[in-house]
Amino acid sequence: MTDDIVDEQRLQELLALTKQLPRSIDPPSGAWGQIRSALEAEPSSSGPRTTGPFSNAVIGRADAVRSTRFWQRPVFLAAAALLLVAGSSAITAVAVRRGDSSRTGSQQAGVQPTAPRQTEAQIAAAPTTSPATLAEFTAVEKDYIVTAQRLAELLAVQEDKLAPETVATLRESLRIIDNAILEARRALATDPANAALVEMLSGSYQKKLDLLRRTAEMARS
Amino acid sequence: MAFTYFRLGLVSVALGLSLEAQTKVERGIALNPDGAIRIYALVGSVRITGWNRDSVSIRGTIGKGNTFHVGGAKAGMKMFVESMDQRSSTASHLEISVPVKAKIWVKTATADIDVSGVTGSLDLYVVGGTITVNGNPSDVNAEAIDGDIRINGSPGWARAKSASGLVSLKGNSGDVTLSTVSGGIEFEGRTERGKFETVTGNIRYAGTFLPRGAINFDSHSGSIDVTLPEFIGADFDIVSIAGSITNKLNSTKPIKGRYGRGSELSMSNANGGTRVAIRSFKGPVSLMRGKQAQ
Amino acid sequence: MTIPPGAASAAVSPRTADAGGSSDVIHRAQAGDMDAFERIYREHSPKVYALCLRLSGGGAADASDLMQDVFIRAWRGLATFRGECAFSSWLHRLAVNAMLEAARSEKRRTARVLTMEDPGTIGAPAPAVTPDVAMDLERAIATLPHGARMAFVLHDIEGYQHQEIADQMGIAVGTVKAQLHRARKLLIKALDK
Repeated sequence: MTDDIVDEQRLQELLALTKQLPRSIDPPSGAWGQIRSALEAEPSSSGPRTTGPFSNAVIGRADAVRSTRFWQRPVFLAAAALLLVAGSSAITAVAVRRGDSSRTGSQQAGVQPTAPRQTEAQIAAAPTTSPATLAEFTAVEKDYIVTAQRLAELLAVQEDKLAPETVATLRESLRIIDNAILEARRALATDPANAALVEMLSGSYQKKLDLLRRTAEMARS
Repeated sequence: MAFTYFRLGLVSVALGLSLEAQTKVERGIALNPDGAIRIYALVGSVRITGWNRDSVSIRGTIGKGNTFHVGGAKAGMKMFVESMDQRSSTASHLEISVPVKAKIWVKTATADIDVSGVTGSLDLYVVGGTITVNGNPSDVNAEAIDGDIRINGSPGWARAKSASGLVSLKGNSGDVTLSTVSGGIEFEGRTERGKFETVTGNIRYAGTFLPRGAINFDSHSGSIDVTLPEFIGADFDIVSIAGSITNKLNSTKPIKGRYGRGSELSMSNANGGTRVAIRSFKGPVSLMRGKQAQ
Repeated sequence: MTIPPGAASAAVSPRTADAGGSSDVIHRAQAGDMDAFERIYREHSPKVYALCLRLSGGGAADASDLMQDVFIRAWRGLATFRGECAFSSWLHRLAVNAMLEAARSEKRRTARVLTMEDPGTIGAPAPAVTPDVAMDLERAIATLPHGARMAFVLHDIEGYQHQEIADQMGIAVGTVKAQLHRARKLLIKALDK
């Protein structure tokens, strides 16, 4: 017998003891806060989203939406969201275009009163007086525009199902947020280095994306 | 909190079309103490109550033209009300007793959701109905579009979002996020980490903070009213771009904002402690003195 | 409507995701919903933390750092989770990979400054004299040499097969078995003290 042989009985005792060890141990209470702070400090491109705040997983779910299930999915919100998003995007584009008209002459270069999608693209590329502050805002706006458009396409398959009350609520909510975005953007145009304003404007966009995302998720199942 | 997948060997209680306006349902199914329950309903109500049994009891009435399905295993079960015509679904009302530690997931269209006495986790989603939670679940995630969300109790952490409905929590919670677009937000209690955000709704916070916490308030045009004990230890950073700030917590006065517009207030109360950040675009902000914390 | 290539397969199948409401949560998180990711964290962090605590063998601080690394990787790589396995399994693999990378970095660092002592005993807490046998076992696991600890935790605690461990650690199955045998021998010896 060599030292390398493990006594079978002792081994079984060890394994029995091992089985009693807890598989779950609560982490320190502040751990999530640290993780969240670390994630929020990362560039947006490093998140799970591939293009814009909606990943391909959301778009891919169009297949799931169309697939047959043995119970019908309530889809009241799908077309509602479609109309709201399309309308909201147009509203924002018009509102932003109006907001841009309050800028100084040098900032208005390149901003033309054209169709919403083209205007949004131009606004995204519009020159700024304070690149550090407005650049962040512009990146958020680009994400919003792309995401809103993709969501509209995703939900287009459910055009024929509507709940009027919910459509009204969503339309009104998006209008409220768009107005807030417009006001904040106008203020930022006259005070481009105001970090609090950038924070508020980003927050408004995030609220809109969150509402759209939640709507899409509720309509999915 | 592991959710295990339930095999879809559903025992279909397919009550089918009925000549009666409503059909009664009554079922009892075994479930592990921390089992998972998933419930879909469209219109009507879902009332869930925790009890000290390893089983689920389902009683209620199923609206005309609807069928009720339930199935699963002891680790997890699923039930749903299927409507033949989703556009005009009739109301079904379910009263469900569940193991007190069960993990509950509910999604409805306009059916109200009411949960009491459950200490497991809650995920509650409703489009147009209301959500009411009574008790102390380990955590709550509640979302509505135009319904109210009311939490009365002390969840470990809570996330509640509605677009136009009221969102309210009365109790204590270590980590809270309450969010609306135009609905009001009300919090009465104590928290360590909190986020209260709206666009045009009014925010009302009445209570206290745990030491070394971090609290954020964010509104575009809704008012933000924060009532705190006189000697609460907190560091305040308040900015209103175009609105007013009123401080009745202590004698520090706000100053004019940038370019003479709006107001700002940075100050520590009672040697500081919890970090409180308040951002308002044009809504008024008020700090008020309330009853001393117990 | 045009669906980007691979998008359909990116959808999480409810059959393989940890079920109940979790597949919805994963979808939301993949869409960038931080609150949904927090839900995932709440659900899975106790098991991930337990794994990190035992793999790192260095105490709560190291385990917390490792767990933070795991969830940051999970957030970054969420879009790649396609539901072919349980989400918990996917997270576990991330944790093991993170631990292996951390160990490689640590090895490079300590090799420059340390003597030829058994690396497994460096920084390890002294076994406590306590009537709690389970606590003794936990402490004994923490004192194991790195390779032996990995093999024991993954095989005897987490239930991985030899081949799975070999694949993930990039070593031969025979090496896994040898490390496991070594771990068990050392633990029995430690518990007999």
